[in-house]
Amino acid sequence: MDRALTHGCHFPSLVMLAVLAAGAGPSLVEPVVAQEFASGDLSPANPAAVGLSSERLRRLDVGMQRMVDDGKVAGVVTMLARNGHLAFVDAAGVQDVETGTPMSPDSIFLIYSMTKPVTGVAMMMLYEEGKWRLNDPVSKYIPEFANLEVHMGEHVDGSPALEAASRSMTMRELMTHAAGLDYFSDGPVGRQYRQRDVLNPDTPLQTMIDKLAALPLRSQPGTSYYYSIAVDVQGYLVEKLSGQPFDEFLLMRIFEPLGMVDTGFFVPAGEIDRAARVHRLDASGQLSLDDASEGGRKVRTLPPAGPSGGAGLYSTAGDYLRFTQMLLNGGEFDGQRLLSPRTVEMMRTNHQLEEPLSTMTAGRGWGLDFAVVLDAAAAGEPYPDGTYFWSGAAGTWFWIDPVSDLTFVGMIQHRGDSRREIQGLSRNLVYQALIH
Amino acid sequence: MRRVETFWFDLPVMMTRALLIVGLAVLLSVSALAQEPVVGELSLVDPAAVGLSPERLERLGAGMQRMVDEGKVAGVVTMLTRDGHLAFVDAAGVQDVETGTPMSVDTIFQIYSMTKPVTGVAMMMLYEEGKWRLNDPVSKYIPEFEHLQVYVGESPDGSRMLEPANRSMTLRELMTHSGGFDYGGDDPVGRLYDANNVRDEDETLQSMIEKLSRLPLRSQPGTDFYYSISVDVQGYLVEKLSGQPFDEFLLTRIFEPLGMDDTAFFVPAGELDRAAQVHRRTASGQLVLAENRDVRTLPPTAAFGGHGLYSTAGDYVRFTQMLLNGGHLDGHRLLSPRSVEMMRTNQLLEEPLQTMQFGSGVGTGRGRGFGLDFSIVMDAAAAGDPLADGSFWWYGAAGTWFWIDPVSNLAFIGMIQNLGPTSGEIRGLSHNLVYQALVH
Repeated sequence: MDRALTHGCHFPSLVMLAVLAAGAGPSLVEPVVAQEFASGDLSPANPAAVGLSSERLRRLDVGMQRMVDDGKVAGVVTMLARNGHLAFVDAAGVQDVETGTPMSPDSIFLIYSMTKPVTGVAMMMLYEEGKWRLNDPVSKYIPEFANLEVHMGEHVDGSPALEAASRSMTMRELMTHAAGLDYFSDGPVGRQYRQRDVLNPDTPLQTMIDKLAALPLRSQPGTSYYYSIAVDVQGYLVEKLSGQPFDEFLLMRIFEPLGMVDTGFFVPAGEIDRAARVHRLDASGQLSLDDASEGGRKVRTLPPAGPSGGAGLYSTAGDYLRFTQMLLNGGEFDGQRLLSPRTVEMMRTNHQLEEPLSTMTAGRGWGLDFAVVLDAAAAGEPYPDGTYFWSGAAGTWFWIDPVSDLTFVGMIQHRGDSRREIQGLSRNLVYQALIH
Repeated sequence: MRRVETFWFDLPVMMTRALLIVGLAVLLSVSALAQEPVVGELSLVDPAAVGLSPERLERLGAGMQRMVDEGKVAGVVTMLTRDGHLAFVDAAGVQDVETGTPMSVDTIFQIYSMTKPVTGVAMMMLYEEGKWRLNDPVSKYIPEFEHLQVYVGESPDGSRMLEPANRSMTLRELMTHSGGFDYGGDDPVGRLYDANNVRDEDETLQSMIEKLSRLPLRSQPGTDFYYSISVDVQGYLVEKLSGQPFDEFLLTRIFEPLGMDDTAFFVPAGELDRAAQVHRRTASGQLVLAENRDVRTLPPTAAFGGHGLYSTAGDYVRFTQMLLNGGHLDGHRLLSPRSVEMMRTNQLLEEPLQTMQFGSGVGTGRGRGFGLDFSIVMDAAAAGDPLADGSFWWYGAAGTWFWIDPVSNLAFIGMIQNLGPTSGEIRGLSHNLVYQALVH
């Protein structure tokens, strides 16, 4: 009886406290600065200590294993960090169906477009040195791009109808795939990129720029989003603005400070036994090595002459998690600061202006070399608004959730529908385990 | 069986209640602190104590020096405050390329349009005296503006086509350059301003008002953001509504209380050796003194609230700190926090806001808004800038610039005397270099 009364007594005061606490909240200008969480060092922690349910995390384990057992992927490595601690590490299946070498947390993967955020960080390090600004015309730094043309269509006789670009693309547009550049499309401009071998890692980046300078854009700058070669152009800019070869810049200013010892544009010959190979499902639905891709039968073992800022890196889950944790920490990891918190915030904030944004998938925006979740409900995803993420052509994927102070890295080497399936599955399974 | 009333006298419950009351008191005081930023009095501190990286701040000094070494500006003085403390003070280059006098933290600059926020604060001080309201028609206070015309174009025979203004512009429109005024320059109405010498420092503000009353507006009130003579009209209003000459009002009610001893509409002759000269770059990239930019040594007859002040970085940083503190400094309160908040909140209504975000004149830009005599960063990502959302700022024709970031609780002052595009370059550079140094 007494207990019920004392409960009843506390409640109104607690309500008052809660109301006051709510009132003592943010000033009338919504603070945009990221919540400051303690800087994480990825030391392992018991999931329960970081708000995860161990029991529910088992579903993640089981789910990844099932993708292997069902023959959908040869193998997979996954890692999850919460509140700066490593809370889940898993390796299932094999690196290579022919050798049967098991996957391990140290397996090396060709991460393709997960290279792009790394190049973005390099660009922002130069931004922080005052080397460029978002509204600058790209032609200020790449004079070869001063007088580009735009492919508008075809004349009756089949010849291309070109018109002058209305203006130079801006650096913002280069960082958000809104510059009008192409990539691998089957359209007239994409075909020309292929015919002229624009993306050739065995030639210097300047060669790529010279070829692009002689080719039209696929659309007027700033009018539409089209996933493009822009980040390879950024790799060239990192080189030009820093005076350092692109791969050397990444090595000395990002990989070495962050301890990403297994990350580079090639796999040293002595480490090939750790390289997972790219697979696909053959005609009979069986997993087999993908002969067509780099990383299938052939792994690059020597540095390329023209490292691809858009797709060229090899890495491990552990290495890439250090990279994502650095971002989650606001630009610093293990005492090494690469970026300031405001810069990281810019990278994870939508920078796509209205016109090109309207051409993007529902609920999604583009930061500076990251996709950003603007409306998770519209996107149909369990991660919260503000999450930023990307993935690679061989299925590697990651996301960073600054609201939940969480980051996930998943690595497979596969081409085909399994990529989408395993990535979507992981999102469901991670968030159902997040209970605090 | 206990009755409900008697439990209040139950000792454990009383103690718990006492704890809750104490807790509430603590929470209230904590919450009060959280609402108002740390009240700074601008002592110089180790940057690391206020969340800045000393190592990264070096890039700021180096960047400013590089602009001097590359001959882009003759000299520059910069100051950065965080959490009410001075965390960075720097002077590089020279006041005058001919004399070679070095820049110093006491160097005096013509701050031009950085006068406008000061006039705005004066207006808001009168607002706080109940002297005017945002939706009031300006003609209520300036009857000369009751029947303004609007220029609508040129007729085939070359004469001006005019139509009556739909209504009087409002005070809000006057405070946000959306009343329809021009500023002078190379457009039809601007040319009329220049031909009639609307801003003449040797006449009176009253004579400016009379001239304006006879000239058309460039657009209907409330339709268009256009950087204008509005703040000179505000200066006139400060005079009229306070009964005090405009420069005297600023001196006695703003500069003296804030200790801005080097701020005025002229530079006393004895202090001329501290005045930086305005420079420009020749076609071959040489820095030379700019013409017709002499330093005024006597008070003007008409003090122009849009551009007339001289000041120092050390003075203006006290002005920005007063704003960051929510309207007070060193025990002197000029404004309430709410008034400061109004000044730094977008006050442009939809139609003129569109023209400001998608237009191309001075002050326009994506992601921007306009408060009461300040430009506002409404959407930093759209603007393409590292200044955080909520920042408010402005700059002057000779390149002086500042911004105030109430979220990060910092202010930056940059002072140069330069004409030409390098002013925009050094300003943009400072944005990148300040925010990369902010680590906590």
